[in-house]
Amino acid sequence: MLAFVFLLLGSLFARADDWQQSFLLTEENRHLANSLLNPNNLVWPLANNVIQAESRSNIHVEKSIFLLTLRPRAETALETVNGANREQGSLFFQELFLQMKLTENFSLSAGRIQFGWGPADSITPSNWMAPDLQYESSPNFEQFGISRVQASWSASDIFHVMGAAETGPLPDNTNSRTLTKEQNQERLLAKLEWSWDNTNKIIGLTSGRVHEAYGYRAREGFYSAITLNDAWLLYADTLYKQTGAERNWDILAVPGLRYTFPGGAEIRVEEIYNQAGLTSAQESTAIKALVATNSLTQSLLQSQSASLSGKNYSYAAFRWTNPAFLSMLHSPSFALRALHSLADGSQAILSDFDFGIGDQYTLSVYGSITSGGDNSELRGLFDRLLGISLKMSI
Amino acid sequence: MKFLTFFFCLAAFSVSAWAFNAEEILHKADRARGGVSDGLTWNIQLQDSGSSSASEYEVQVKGVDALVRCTAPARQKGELYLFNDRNLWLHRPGLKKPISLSPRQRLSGQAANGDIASTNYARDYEAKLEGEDVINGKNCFRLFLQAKAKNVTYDKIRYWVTKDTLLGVKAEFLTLDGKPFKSALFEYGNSVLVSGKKAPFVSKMNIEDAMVKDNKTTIIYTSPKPAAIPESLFNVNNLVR
Repeated sequence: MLAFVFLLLGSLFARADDWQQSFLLTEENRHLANSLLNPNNLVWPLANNVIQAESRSNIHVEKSIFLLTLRPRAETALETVNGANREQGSLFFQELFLQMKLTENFSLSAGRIQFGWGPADSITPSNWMAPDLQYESSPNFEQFGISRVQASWSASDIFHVMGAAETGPLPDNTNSRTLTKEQNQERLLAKLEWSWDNTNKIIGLTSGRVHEAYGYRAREGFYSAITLNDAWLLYADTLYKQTGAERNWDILAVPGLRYTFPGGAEIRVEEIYNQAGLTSAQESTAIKALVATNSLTQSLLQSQSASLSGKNYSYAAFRWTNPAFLSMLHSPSFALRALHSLADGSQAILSDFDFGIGDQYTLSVYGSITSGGDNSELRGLFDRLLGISLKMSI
Repeated sequence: MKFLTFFFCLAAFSVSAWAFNAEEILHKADRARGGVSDGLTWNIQLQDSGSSSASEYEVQVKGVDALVRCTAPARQKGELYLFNDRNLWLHRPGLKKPISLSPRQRLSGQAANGDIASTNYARDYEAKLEGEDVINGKNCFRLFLQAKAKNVTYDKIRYWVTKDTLLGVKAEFLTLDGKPFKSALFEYGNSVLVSGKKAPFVSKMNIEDAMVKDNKTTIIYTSPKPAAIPESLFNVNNLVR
């Protein structure tokens, strides 16, 4: 089976209209939190140290109106868990989909597709299928695509409509450390985006349905961005979520602003309001209840790339790409992000720095520090994390 | 009294004529740098002084929009830069959504992001005719360009355009207080069909730091040709395919 997959990939490489291949070698060291959730790292044995090698291919094959996109990934990792070593490996597609371009402006796609939109940085509520919480410190982190069928229509460069329905998962092996497992549900989503004033003003509306225990529930989203001048950008991203038997409406909202300095550095500040989230007291009760059933660690592991459990958060980010004072380096990039939970006072500070070496190599150094009470949300798993990664592209 | 009236009318006419001429000169000079309403494609190679590696891009331009795809070096291959008028987006393979960038941000060496597909000086800048100079043995108009909006690549530019062929041959990029911080020389060794007529097209742009003369970046333009480009290509939603 594996030989067949490699034979198929080799054949596609030969026919590819466009392909990129890279190899990554990463070492990540983590100082695990000794918390009620995971005392002495015994409840959920997480790796203290990971050495991982990864192959990433991006392949496009175009034939007539068809475009096939494949992003096969192969990972092997040596993990140290409480002094013992274990080996892990996985082979999967981050994306695999076929696009049929029926006209210049209209296309149909099917397969595992990743997708994102909107100006917000910390989390994108209107994209409730894949909200992309900024809680990963590695600059090489990739989010998993979601299996779906999708129709897309662009009337021009300023008007876009998209409709999508989720389908069943692709059968592949996903033990990946950096990817959340695909969780398929019956979900439908439509998105309409319009921009005007030379794209200085953008409005997007999303509407969808998700099948829950009590039947289909609505998800209505809205996002907007206004560029005031070259320095200031104001934006908001909001989701109205219908839940439960009573069909109650909850709101998840992210207002924010971005300031860009003349040298290209930018700073963002965002506030996250999660109406359905827990207050500090509720969180503490929930943790005790869930620890008894030993399910919170599992849900935390899954949720850290998908959702937030608290009620209020503040988020700040600073990014600087190609600063002039580092002109001796190829494409240097620096980012510093901080997420603070107002519910329980916990916080996570994440940072990464990367630059090119010659034509083929990129070196990344990244890390995170969390702080807060023993059972706080953002200190749930790690106290500190430090990683270094070398990427070779051919 | 009649003489005075005639004099003021003549003066007013002259001022408006000069303003019109400056805009017209700038508009015509833009055409040789890709500033046409029809679709055009070309390739560029960007080389910094003191660096052994060069970056290569494929450029597709239509009106105020441009899509630029990086083809080299290997570590940046597949990166896409989308210019929606003055707004700029970057998308990297494997990432789920594009990120917005400032056109002023440094791309490489002396080149800013906006330099790789900035073709429309007439759209972005208000032009005034300052005078005339001789550049490389050619008689040139000297224009002073002031940014119409704040999110363009440069605030102020001093721009020299040849009187006979109306080609921009030299530019000085100025700080807010009017001091040059870098300069560029243009060459026009390419040609392209515009509205059925063969027209000169830029082949090289040499950008030099005003303070440290050894800091240079060369942009080489090749294979310019007209192309039918759909507007939907420039919709940011279509970058992530």
